Amino acid sequence: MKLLLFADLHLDTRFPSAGPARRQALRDTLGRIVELAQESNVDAVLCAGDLYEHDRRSPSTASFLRSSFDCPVPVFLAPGNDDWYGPQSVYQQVDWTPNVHVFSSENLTPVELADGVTLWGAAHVGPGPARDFLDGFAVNRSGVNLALCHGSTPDDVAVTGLDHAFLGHVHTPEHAVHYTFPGNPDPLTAGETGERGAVLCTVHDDGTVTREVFDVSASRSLGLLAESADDFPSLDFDSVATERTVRGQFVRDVLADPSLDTALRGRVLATGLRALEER
Amino acid sequence: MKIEWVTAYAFGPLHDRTLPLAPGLTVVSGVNESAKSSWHAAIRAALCGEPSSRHRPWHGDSWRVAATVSLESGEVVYLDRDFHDDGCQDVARRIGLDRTSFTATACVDQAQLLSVLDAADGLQDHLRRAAATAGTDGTVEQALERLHAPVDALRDARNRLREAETDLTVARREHARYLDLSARARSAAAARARLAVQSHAASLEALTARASRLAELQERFGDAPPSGLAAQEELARVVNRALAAWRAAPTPRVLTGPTAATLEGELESLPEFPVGETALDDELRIVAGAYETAAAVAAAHHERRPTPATTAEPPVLRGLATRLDPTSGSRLTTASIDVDNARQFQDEAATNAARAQVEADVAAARVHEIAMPNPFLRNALLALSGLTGVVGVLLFLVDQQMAAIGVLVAALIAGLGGALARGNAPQREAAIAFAAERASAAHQARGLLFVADRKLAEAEGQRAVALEAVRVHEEAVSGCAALGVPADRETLWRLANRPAWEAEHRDLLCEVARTEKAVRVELAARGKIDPNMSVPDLLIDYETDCKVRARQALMAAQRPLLAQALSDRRQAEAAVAEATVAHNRALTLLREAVTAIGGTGERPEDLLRAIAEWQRGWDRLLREAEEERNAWAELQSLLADGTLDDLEATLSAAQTHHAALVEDALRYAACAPVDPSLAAACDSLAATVAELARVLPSVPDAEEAVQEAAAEVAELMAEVEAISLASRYLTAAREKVHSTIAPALEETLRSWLPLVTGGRYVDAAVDPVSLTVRVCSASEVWHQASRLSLGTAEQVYLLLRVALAQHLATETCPLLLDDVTVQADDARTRAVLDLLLRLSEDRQIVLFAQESSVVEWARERLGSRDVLHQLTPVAA
Repeated sequence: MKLLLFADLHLDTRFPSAGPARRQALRDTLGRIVELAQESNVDAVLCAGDLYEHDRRSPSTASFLRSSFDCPVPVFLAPGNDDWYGPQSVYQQVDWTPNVHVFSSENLTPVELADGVTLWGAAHVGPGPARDFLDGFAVNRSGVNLALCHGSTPDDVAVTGLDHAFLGHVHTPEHAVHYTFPGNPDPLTAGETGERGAVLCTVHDDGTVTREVFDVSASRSLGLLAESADDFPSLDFDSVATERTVRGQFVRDVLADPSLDTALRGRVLATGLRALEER
Repeated sequence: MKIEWVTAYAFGPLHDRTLPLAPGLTVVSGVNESAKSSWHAAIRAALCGEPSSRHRPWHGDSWRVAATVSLESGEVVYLDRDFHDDGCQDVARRIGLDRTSFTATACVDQAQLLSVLDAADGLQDHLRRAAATAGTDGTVEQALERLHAPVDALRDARNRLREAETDLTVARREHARYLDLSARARSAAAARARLAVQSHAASLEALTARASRLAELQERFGDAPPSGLAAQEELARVVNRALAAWRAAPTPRVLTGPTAATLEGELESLPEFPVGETALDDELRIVAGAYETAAAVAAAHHERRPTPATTAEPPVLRGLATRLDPTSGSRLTTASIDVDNARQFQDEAATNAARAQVEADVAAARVHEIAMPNPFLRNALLALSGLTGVVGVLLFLVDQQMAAIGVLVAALIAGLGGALARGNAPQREAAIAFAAERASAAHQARGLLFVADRKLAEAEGQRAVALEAVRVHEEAVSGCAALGVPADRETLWRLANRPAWEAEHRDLLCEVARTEKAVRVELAARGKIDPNMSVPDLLIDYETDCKVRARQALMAAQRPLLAQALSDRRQAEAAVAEATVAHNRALTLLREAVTAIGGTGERPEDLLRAIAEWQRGWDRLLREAEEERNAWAELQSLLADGTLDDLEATLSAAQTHHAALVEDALRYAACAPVDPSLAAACDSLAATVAELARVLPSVPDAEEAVQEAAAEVAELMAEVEAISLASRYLTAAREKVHSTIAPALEETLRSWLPLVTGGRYVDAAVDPVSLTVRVCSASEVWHQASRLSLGTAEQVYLLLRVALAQHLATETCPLLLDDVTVQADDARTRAVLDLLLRLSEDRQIVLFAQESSVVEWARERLGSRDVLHQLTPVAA
């Protein structure tokens, strides 16, 4: 059985710069995920929460999600702490197509994916920190048991009887033996590392899972992730510091002041030298 | 540093030309177009690179110069620069400068010299510029003026941040409202869908029931209507009429009390209303009361008439009455008893006083009998006892036992005597206390005796007064007996006052007569006239007449009530007669009805029971018939809307529609149960949500705007801080550098100035704050350097340039001067050239000039360390 897992897309989130373009890129990323699911002939698409941000969602997000998931592939959604399930959530507002299943209970609830394969899902039903749904849970079914939820790193998946847990909330990808954090498929903040994207999971008959990561980031492909340049280019202050002039003394004094941090030192040097320039 | 030579392979008009430079002064002379400026630029470009583009070669692509430079360390640097690909170092850096500061420090041209000479503060400005940036840029003062905090920009940025925060607050509020309205709209849609299902379910149920009923009724009646109950209805009318008459007929009332005839008899026997008063008249009552009072008073006064009659005069009678004292005897008895008691008390007190006095005397004698104790004797005996005791012990110690025993016995006797000498003191003290007590008791007994004596005297006085009163009383009693009047004080007083009593009695009798007359007048006015009858009798007679008339009036007052009772009785008897007739008629109808329905009975209750039994059966028949009629009417009504086939078709369509409604409602299965009344607001809520969604501000956009505005504010705040710090550091750096550069300049001027001015100026000073240069003349007068003559100013300037080059560079820096003498006269030119020649003793100087006077001076003055190059015009 093949499952395409993603999480923490955070539609409608805010960005330090190029916000509208980045938010559109997140929608494009979701489109790529659905396309990848159909191209890969997966048996289901799993979203482990934080699909969008409740406090920021735009009115068009509901219709966008409905149309995005209107596909032949079964889609399973487990609401997270940023897109918690409730009367105001998209999950209740949208008339989902029949292929979409939204987990709405705080407790892990079973859905039969195939004969002998059960997917347990749970939802956050209110704002607050992410919780560990697997804590105290125990499987009461035979066959292969999988879990889909949004929560912190579990202590021990095997003790619950689950074969594998597909999780969201942790943005750094982690592919453990018994659980998978796919990470956010489109980078949200600077410096996010790790091989992230949509994870194509193959569930074997013995419950083991093999994974393959696909880069689906529209922001990356559109070149929206370029890091901003430093405000103050590093100047060759050392040569100036050798001068026997006021300028050289100024540079020496500023460079020698331990109370200044690097940024402020550079800013003071640039400001003073710029003022001395006869322009 | 010294420049050995420079080769211009291709530089402006120069091609493959070499210019060797002397270690001292090198004078490069030439007319216009002899490439002096090109050589000047070539030297600088060979040392530092980056020539101006106007010095590109006139011919060919190559742009190249070379030079050899020797440093003070002994190192020789060969520079070969291809300006299309210049990888050579900037050799100015080897002496602590760069290509820009080298130009500003080592290169002196005509324009710089003129600017110093022409402007009043040109020299000071040049020094400040050199101190600040080695002449490459502005002064510190100019820099500090440029360092203004961006106050307006910061204010604008803060305003933008506040606006962005306000926009964010609005966006979040509107977003929360949008979410709330969306949820409510969804709930309303759910409520409407569920309500539609419920509503349609009811109509579907009604439609199903209607079809079922139509089918049932059609099967029951077919096409024939139900039969009626016409034959039974006439009998029901008879029964109903009889029951109605019976219910309407009144039950005859049974009358009690006197009949009308009895009442008529009583009415006829009543008396007429009497004439005259029925109660005692008030006026008569008043005068009669006055009469009775006056008569009673007169009678009472007569009772107190003075008796017996006597001839004694009133004063005599009053004197006897005054002297009579019937209590005098008893008072005498009491006084005698008091005297006896007082005497007895006086005797007892006298006895007690005598005894107490005797006891006091005895106690006093006892005190005298006990001798007074002598303390001196006692003390002497005790001292003697102690002394002899000590002597006895001493004798015993010296083995004089016999003598010791004798002395000790004597000591014992003396001790006993001393002890006994104290023996009678307590006894004497007790005797004294007892004697004092007895004396006090005797004094107290004497006091009591005095009181008893006084009381006895008082009692005897009282008894004498009482005895005198008895004597006077007895004399008065004898006088009364002699006059024949009782010895009674009250009787005597009355007899003494008899004339007054008689006058008063006459007045009372007159009042009785007056009131009697008034009563008789009133009685006469009411017909009671009988002079032979007393007034009380006449009053009794009158009151009796009033009571009789009152009884008659009371009986006569019953007549209207009795007449009304008679009238009522007659009406009641007529009503009873009428009810009896109606009752009998209804009873007859009942009997006829019962006979008609086949029942029997005579008494009304039997007849009614029979009718009720018949009616129960009749009601059942009526209900069945009514039900039949209603069912038929219902069938006709149902058929009026269509046939059974039509109804079944409608039902099928409704079931299909219901299934669609249920499916629609299932879309909202996730919604919690909601108030059905919310369904009415579904459309308006949906419209509101759509409108709100259309204009809803983006929360992330607003947040990003706040971030951007906050970053801008932070940037400006950092800039403000940086400006503040840069100003502080620049000011501090200026103070440091000026404090080192000013002495260096002073030192150079001080050592050279007397030499170059021929002793006209002997000293110099440079202000470390403003870098203002002053020179001191031989007459010790200080002058601003900027106010000196042009020739002296030129010399001062050149000296300062040398000093600056020396200070700013890490080793001796050559000077390149270009046409600095072009504006000077011969004398100034020679003075400058002489100065340069002297300066070239310590450093390399290259002078470019075009004047012939310079060439002449050079030929005349240059030495072995110097050289003169005369350039020829270059070919175009």
